[in-house]
Amino acid sequence: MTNRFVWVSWNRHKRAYDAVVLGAMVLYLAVFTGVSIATTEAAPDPMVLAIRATGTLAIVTLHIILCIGPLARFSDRLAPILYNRRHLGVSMFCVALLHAALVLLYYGGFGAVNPVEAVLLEGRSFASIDAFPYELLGFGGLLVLFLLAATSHDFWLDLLRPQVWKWIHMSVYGAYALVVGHVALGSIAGDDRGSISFSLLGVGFVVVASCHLVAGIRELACDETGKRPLADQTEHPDREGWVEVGVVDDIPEDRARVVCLAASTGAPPLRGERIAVFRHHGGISAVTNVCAHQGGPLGEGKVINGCVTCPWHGYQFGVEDGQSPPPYTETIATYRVRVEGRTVLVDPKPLPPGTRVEPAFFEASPHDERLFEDPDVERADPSVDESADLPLRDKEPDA
Amino acid sequence: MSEERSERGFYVGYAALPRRHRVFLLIALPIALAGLALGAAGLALDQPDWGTGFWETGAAREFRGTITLEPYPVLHTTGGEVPASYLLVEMGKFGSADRFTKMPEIDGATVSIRGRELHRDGRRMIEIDPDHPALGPPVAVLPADRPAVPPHRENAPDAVTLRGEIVDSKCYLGAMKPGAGRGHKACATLCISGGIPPVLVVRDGDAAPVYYLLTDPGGEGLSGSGLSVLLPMIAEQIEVRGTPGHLGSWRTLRIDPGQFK
Repeated sequence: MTNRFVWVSWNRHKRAYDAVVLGAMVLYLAVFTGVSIATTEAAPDPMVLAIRATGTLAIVTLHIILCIGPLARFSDRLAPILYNRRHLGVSMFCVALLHAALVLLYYGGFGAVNPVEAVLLEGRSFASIDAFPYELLGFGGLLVLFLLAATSHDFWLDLLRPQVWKWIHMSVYGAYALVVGHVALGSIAGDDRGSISFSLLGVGFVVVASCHLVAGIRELACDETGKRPLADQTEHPDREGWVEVGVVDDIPEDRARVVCLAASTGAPPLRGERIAVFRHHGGISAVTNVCAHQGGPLGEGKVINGCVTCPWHGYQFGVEDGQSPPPYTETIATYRVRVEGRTVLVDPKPLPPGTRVEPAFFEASPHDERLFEDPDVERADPSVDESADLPLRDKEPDA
Repeated sequence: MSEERSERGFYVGYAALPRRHRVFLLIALPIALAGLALGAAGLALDQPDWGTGFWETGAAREFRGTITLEPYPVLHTTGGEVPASYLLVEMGKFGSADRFTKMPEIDGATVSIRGRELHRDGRRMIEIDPDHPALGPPVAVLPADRPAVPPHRENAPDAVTLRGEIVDSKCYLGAMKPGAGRGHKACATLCISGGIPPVLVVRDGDAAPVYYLLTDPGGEGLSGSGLSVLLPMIAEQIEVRGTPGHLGSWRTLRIDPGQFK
């Protein structure tokens, strides 16, 4: 059995997500258009109105997209918004493309030179802020957004490999800078108005920057908390090269504790690596914290059906062998673990992705019993269908 | 963080939505949509004024008057309540100088022109209708039953310095709204490059704007290098020094594009 890519592997959440995105965009356009018409005596130019409505909608959506990632790290309640972010991104690109097409047609058309040259270069000067072709910035941003939309499918992720794909998609921040420049230098700066627009652009930048800054600081703090040096080997010579994670009681059932290897653990390949140490059915297993799909934080995931399930898109990997359940073929690095008494130790040297490692079992303690009896603790969320056979990805089994 | 998560439902996109996520979305989604609508309304209110430009639609009609070709083709009519001077342009983003270059004898003649009117703040323009198989050419010289009335022309002796925005007269008068500002810069540049007469709009507080048809120092239409220097200045607030004058109901300003600030 192999697996094949499909355009979209639809499920209920994706349909609901897309319906909300479409509804929200229609709502925005309707309110923008309605307010514009209602507040002017002369009828607005319909094409210019469409240019303004789509342009503002695109940049508002871009801000939302940029904030989703860090916000989902603050609270996993926002995970449903992150889950189908790709569709939001493609929708935003379509709106931006419509904006650009209308500009080219209306402002660049009906003249003696081709519309692209007319809009981007005619009568412009790079030496002057006033005459700077700010449309070029928007065009550059649009090209980057096209690249991101065109390669957003898992087919490209698979083809380009996750690391390369991730780097390409980090260019969304470049696109954001270009779009902010386009708006600030162009439609806002040139007109004797824009107090609200300028303020909103500034507020938007501050919100995006703050979200990323706070998320980054929290990540660093988390790494600091989870930072583990090599185990002390004066009393335990056999612990040489191993890292002491903590005690099993610190790790909730089916969840992980993320450890970050300290500088003393060796050269750069290991230093700073994050390892997710899971507790499942009386055993301890360790895998890399980085999901093979889009680099999601596996340590914030949960073991479902014996598989570590990524909190971002639900990709699964066997907690013992780091292999996606067949027919999927993704693999992640695993680590050797052992438990001494209640102390968990992990060998920081990653094993080749997909290597099976027997869990390190430990004896149940009264604490474990209390954990199971505590009515406030939800051991297994009944609303999660753990009997689901396979994750539904955009790559589906091909019978 | 992990312990906190363990006490709550875990979201998986292809599984049922945990209750706490459902409750959160039911509360957060309406608030977010309301915020989005509010943002849309705020941004709509902050858009530049649409202006009062007007562009006649429907069938083209006939205008009669005296035509002059310099600095730009203009039709001067006397039939209405007040004399009016209509700038003459073609369809699309083109002036009409090319059309009349082929018929220089028409300068000063009484003509009939078929077209559609654009106007704003009393400034007027005719977009000349294209040739039509049934209606014939849009411009026709009328028999001179009486001598054509030459338009009022006047030039002041002293130069003045004015601050304003250069716009393309066709879009500004109604082909596009608002037809001004940096958002319209590319279009205005294309229009003026195509021969649409450039106009300086001088605004002074709440007073009605004053419009100046820009010409070269010799009083002819801007073209060539003079026009090239002017193009990057379009749609910006600039200072212009020139000699004011009148051509029919239009104010004119003879300028040296090299002295722009």
